Amino acid sequence: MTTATTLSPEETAEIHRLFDLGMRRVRFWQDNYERFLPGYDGQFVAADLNSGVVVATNADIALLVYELGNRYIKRDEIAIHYITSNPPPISHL
Amino acid sequence: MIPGLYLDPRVPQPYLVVAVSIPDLSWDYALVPFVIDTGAARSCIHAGDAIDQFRVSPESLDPRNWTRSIVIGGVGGRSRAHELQAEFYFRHDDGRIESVSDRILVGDITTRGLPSLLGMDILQKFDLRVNPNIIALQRVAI
Repeated sequence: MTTATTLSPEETAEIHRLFDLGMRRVRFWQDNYERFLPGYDGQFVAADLNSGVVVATNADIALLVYELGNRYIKRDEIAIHYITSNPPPISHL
Repeated sequence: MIPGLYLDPRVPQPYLVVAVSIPDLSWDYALVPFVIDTGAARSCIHAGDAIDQFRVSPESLDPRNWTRSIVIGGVGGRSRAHELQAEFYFRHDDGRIESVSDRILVGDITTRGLPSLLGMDILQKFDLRVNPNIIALQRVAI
């Protein structure tokens, strides 16, 4: 089934915000992946998009997301990615 | 034109970032980095993106909590999924947003190590161009 949905200006703005945030995250990992590789191989890494500081890591993304929630960390400024020296990697924006 | 990208320079694996709305999964829109997979018949959001991007609980991805599920199989093995209605939002390079309504599979918790896949159910609505310098989708008239 294929139909086009008409978006309100608010919905359009929210989707553009998501895409812009997603591209910030892509650029962040393209710029920082190699830096994190030696210390976090095999881990999902949550990093602060602005400071570049690692805020949490875990080999299990579910546990990582639990930890972020338990610490009340706002997710919009966080980028999560799986770091691995064995490509193909699993990618999370 | 809808641009894709290579996320990792070590791997020639084409990605397309798509905003997705699945009302039966989450109230929010989510941005999903799909691997463009012409070998997959169905598009699928795997558990890692469901947890990370849609912020669903891992418990909600346990098939024992679903009323219906189907078995899916691929090179990554077999798992269970449930099928939900979704709206896909593609952003063109000129900023236009284009939407496509279709069903999507949401994988169970065992798929959390896999990237989400944009399969032929969606890709067949587009001309797809992939080479080392460009990944691009262009909508075709059906």
